[in-house]
Amino acid sequence: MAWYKSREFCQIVTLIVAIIILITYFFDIPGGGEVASHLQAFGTIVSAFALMVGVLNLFQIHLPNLMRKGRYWYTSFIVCASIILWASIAICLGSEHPISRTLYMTVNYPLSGTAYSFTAFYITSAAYRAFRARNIDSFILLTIGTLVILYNTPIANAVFPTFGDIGDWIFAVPNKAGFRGVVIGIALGSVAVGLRTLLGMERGYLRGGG
Amino acid sequence: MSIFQRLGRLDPRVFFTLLIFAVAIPIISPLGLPVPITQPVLDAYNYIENLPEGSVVLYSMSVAGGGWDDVGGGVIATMQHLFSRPVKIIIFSYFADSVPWVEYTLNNIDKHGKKYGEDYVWLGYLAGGEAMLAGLASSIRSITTTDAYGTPLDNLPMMKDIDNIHDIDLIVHAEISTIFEAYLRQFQAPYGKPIILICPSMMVTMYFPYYPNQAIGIIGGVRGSAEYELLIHRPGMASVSTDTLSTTHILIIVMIIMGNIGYYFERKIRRGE
Amino acid sequence: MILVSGRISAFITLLILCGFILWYIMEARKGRVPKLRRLPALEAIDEAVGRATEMGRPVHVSCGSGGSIRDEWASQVLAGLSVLSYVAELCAEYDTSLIATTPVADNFPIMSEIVREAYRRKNKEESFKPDMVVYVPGYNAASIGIMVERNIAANIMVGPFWHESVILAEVGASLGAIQIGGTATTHQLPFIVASCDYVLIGEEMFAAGAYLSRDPVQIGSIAGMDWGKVLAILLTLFGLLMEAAGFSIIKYLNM
Repeated sequence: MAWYKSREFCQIVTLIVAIIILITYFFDIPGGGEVASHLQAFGTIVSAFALMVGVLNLFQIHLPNLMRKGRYWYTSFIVCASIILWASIAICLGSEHPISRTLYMTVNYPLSGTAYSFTAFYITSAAYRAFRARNIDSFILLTIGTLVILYNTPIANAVFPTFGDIGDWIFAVPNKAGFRGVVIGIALGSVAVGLRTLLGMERGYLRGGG
Repeated sequence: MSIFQRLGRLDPRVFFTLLIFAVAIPIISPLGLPVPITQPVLDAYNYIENLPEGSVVLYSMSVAGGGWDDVGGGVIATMQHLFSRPVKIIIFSYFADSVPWVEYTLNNIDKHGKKYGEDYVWLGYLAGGEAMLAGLASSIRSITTTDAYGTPLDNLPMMKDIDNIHDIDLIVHAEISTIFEAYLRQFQAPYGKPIILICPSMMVTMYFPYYPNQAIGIIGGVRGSAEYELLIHRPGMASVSTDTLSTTHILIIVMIIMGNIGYYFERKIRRGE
Repeated sequence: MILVSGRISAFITLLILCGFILWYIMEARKGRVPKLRRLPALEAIDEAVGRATEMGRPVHVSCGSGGSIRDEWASQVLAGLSVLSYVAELCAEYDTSLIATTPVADNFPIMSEIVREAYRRKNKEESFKPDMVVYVPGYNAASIGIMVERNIAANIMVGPFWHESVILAEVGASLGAIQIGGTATTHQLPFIVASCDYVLIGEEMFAAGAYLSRDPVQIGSIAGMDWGKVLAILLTLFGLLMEAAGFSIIKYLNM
């Protein structure tokens, strides 16, 4: 395997970049901020190329399906045609052009909103399925969940203002305490993962394996 | 299987159909159900209402795509409120996708005679993430020297005396992602600047621990946006949806009750067997 | 070099945490490996893959929809990638179909390479197919379609999620799939807890790599992390007492 593809080289690059970012974050070094900004810009550029890889993957899956008129070939046609059309317009006219903006507002926005709205349906079925008093833990979940739903229901608050007071207490006391604990744990866990990555112990991003 | 047992095993498509009606009917024929105002929204409103004349507000509009329906009402309402006050407003976007929504907002509010360049400025999308925020705090001109239209900031009368966080009196941040903590780290913790947060309703529980010390007000989702619209007496897109909130939430409560009745009878029969 | 104002206490805290973690790593290298409590969600992964193998249906893995490996969600993505690597090895070993989806372009080539390497480690490289890892930008609709069409038997979702988490979980539940979920994205935790059969909450997810690999050195780092929590508790109690006595220590924490 070429040396630049080796795991050790990748780990060395990770270590050097991470140490530079950390040092420039904590220490006031002349020019350090610029170096860190450049490194972050490199990440943005690499990410743009990764986007290209993703798009190629889409074509890799959908073009053969379209060519052989496989299952749902018409959806593959829509995917491929949309990518080509949208990319062409953005590259030729720019993203600020009125046509690009119109496409965004009339196609992307309604589709995004529609996709986002799926959540409502699935939350409904999740609530029906999950909020069952099977044991003491699920009973507590059911009770608190129901009270918070009632807190968020304007008409319930208007008719019984007590729901508002109960909801305010739930948000202000147990929710705050719980989230603060979870967030502290997550922050510590992130530090541990970061340190393991720096030391080369966390190799999940390097083709996996222990 | 008894009818009670069936209550616990209903096909989800039944709920989906009922949900569609619960959403559609109040929108087609508004019910006019009351909307009580909550304290986090009231705090946000009062803070803006009591801003001294000449205050400078930094508005971070970072809402895009599908999230607009959730927080768009709050964005328009707060922007409208700010434009009705004798304050100066600097608008920027954290995400490129938010740019069309800024222009949409500016085209759909009453500017109360405010002039571009003198009373408000649109800096456009500023790239760089949290590093950009850090740069904005130390010097706006280190991040951008022109506005969104290419005009040098020094040519804009309003920006002559404004360059860093110390010249800003309030930050209003509208988001659909979870970048608020970056604003806390870069603006609130080191400089003590007050921040009003507009976020989707699902993130209110996550950000509530920061209220009222770091986030002086939270306008959460459609409900918070509707409350703000009512406070400024300009019902808009969020107010249309408040009846829907009531009907859908009540439907979910009914479903939960049905599910538990069904589960209770199912368990009783299993124990009997 | 002068420390940047406003970050001094963060730097000191980081040094202390790193000290704890490095100490326990050194202890683990000497053979004094701390014991981890059982994490049912991680142990259920074997059960989930086994079930999928028996049923002849695929396993679906998602490493998150909310972030990439180069932003602040990187630690969660890394945790998800560790789980993907483990699941891919199991699928290679048992010849179980695997489908891994991601809407994040940055993660796609890494996930693809991880799955390929997992099959290579199990000498099943010829069984690897490029379409095992799919880039699906419109994650909501596409993931529903993929999961229903492939009729998955197990749904493993570990990583940073947005609102798609409840959609993935509910679709999996409707297909009768066993669901293992884990995220540190706090606003999605309630949905994952409510919808999944097994859950990794917050920092349990970061222990995934260490737990699954059984590497003593990685397990040692988890013990160091836990001592960091002890420090946080002690600091909270100390701050509480100081506030009660009328002395505020907040300004020292903001240094």
